[in-house]
Amino acid sequence: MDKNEIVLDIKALEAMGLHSEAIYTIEYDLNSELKIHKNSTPEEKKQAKIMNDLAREFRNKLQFILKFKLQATKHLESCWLISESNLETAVNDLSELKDAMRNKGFKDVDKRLRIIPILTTIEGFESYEEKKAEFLLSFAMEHIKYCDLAIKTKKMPRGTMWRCKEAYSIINGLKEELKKNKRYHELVDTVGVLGERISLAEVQLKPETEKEA
Amino acid sequence: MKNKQKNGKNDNFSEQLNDLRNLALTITNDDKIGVKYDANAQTSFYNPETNDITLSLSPYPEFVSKTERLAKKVLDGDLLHEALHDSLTKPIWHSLNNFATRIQNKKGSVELAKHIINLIEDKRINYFGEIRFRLDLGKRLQLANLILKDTIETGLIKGKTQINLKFGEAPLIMGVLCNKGLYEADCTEIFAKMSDKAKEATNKALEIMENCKYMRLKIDILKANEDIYNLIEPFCDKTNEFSLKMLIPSRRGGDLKGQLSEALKNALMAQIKEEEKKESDKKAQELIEDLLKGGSAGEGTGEEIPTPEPNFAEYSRLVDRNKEEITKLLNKLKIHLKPRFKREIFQKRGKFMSPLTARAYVNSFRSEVKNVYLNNRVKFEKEQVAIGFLFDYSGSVNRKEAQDITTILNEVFGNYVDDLGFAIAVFGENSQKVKTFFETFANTRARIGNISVSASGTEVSVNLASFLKMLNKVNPERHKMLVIASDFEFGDEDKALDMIKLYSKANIDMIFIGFCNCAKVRTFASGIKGVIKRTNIKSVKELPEKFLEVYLSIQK
Repeated sequence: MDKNEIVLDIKALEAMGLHSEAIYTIEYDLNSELKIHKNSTPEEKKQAKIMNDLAREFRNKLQFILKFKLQATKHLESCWLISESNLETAVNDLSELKDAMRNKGFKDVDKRLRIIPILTTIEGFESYEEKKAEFLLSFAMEHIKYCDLAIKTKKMPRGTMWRCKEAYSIINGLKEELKKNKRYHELVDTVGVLGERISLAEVQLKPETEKEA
Repeated sequence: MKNKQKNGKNDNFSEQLNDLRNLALTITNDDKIGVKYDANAQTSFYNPETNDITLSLSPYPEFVSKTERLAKKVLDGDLLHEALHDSLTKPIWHSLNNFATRIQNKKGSVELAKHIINLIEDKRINYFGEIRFRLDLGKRLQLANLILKDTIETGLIKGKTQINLKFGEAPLIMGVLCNKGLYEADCTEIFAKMSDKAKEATNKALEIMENCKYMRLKIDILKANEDIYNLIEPFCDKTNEFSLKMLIPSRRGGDLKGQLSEALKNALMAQIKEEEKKESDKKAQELIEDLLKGGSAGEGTGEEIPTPEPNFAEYSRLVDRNKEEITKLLNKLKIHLKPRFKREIFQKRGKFMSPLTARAYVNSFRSEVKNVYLNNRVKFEKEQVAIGFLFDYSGSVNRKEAQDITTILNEVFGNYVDDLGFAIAVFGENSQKVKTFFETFANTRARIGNISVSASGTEVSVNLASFLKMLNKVNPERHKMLVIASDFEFGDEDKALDMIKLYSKANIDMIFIGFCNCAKVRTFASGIKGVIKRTNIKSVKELPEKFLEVYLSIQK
């Protein structure tokens, strides 16, 4: 798939009375973990367990790519929005993931993981933005929760701290696209709190690192 | 004051409302937000339909509403909470309403649903408010919540709060969710009366509530509402929904209201006292800085009584009475001045201006001819000084003597120095400025005839502060002096000494004149560095000689 095949003609959209910006969604229906039947043979059980582990691994990997690499925002349970600027990376990353899945024996991968451009009206576009703001708020709160735990327990895995910082910079960047949104002020406040919580968590964690050193 | 009742209870915070509205605007960034204070409202609340915040102190113990400093802080905390409803609750308001309607349609308990909605929103808001504004308003919100926690615990532990099982266990569960879930209050007394099933449901609901504080997705919040509703609903007596409010604090729209514990009362009072001390120290420091800069010099401080109205008849009587001393002192001072000759033409008196003779003669046929004389005058160069006089009019001093001394020095310095050169103020129980450095002698001289300070006290520090400002504002090239004529038995001696220290810092020389041969003039402010000259007079007659002696010695 090529990026140019996905990008829509803005002029054509405007002529149709639609919002000039297209929305790009990544929709997926990845293989779920299957129940292992009691009657299965040990070989079948072993195989099913491997496939389940792989399914979980790919699902987690996709979530990670969506959140931290493509800076996508969750619209529905398995439908994420990405901005046009990240389309090329999305095409590459998803192709790599699909190849990896195919190599591990998953079937119909192209149908299970797709980038879909969406045409919408102005009201429709605003509603997508509402969802985007809500997701970013929730994304910030999720990482505030990690920081709170770190402040309380004085422990935090390095990876979580990296995620918190990455989430902070992603939200900070994306929030500017929502300047006209009603929840922009709330978003600015919340991301500010996330920044503060990260600093507080870092202060709490520092002495331990120094002790280790 | 209009806003205060006689018992000191502040019933109307209208003067603070503008500040509160600005705060609400900062918190919400919503310029349509309105803030009002309603002493009769059951609690503070936010109306998402009108965007209005109503604040009230009625859900708090009387101790809070009677302690103004505390009341203001609590109101700030409440304002933060209600303003955050605008930011956090308003975007999902319709969905929450729909949830309640859905319960109603299913013939469930709408009241229970509403209480749960309130509870979850309050949990989200309290958490976010406390961390977002953790250094300022968040602390006030914590204070308001701490007060509520204490009242709840005081009521529960002392057994003042009735825990009634008549209407099922739902009121008890709601009580725990609200008091423990929101304020972390000790709810052992309520738990003790619950069945195991109710306890289990309560603990599950508390767990959901705890997670709610991080929720922002509408779908998650609605699910949490529904989950908690489903947990409590089986314990609810739908025919007596009003009973759900039984153990909910009135701040959250319930019936529970209590008093503060003595321990918290004492701790709060100690904190308030400490804050007041810090503020007064800060104010004193600012005053010192202000005094040394001379900011707002000459303006009323609010602590002085108004300047006296001029009384020309009385003043001319005073001048007549002291004419001898005035002339004596003025003549002696003139010796030290450089004379300057001035030729003034077209005067009413003097030598006839000969070149005008013919014209004056012709004009005299039409009208009376005046101002045709030439006058040669000797004028003395005015002293380049700035001298402030403070006269004691307290009861311990003879009022007549004080008036005489004031008149003599006013008349002498009015003629001896320029208008900027001297200022006069008097003090007793209160203080009164007679002339500032920035007023003319001609306009102020007769004010002495109407001095009205009360004699039942000797408070000099107000005048000392005001004069220090004025003297600091005067051109630094002038020789600055302060003259205090008193018996030096001040009621505010400590403050006066602090001020006098500042005078020496500001390089202002001082002359102390003791009335009635008082001994204290020799010892007052003896430990303070700087130029201080002292003299003592038995009567007004001695003033010219004694004053001149110290004045000239200080000039050298």
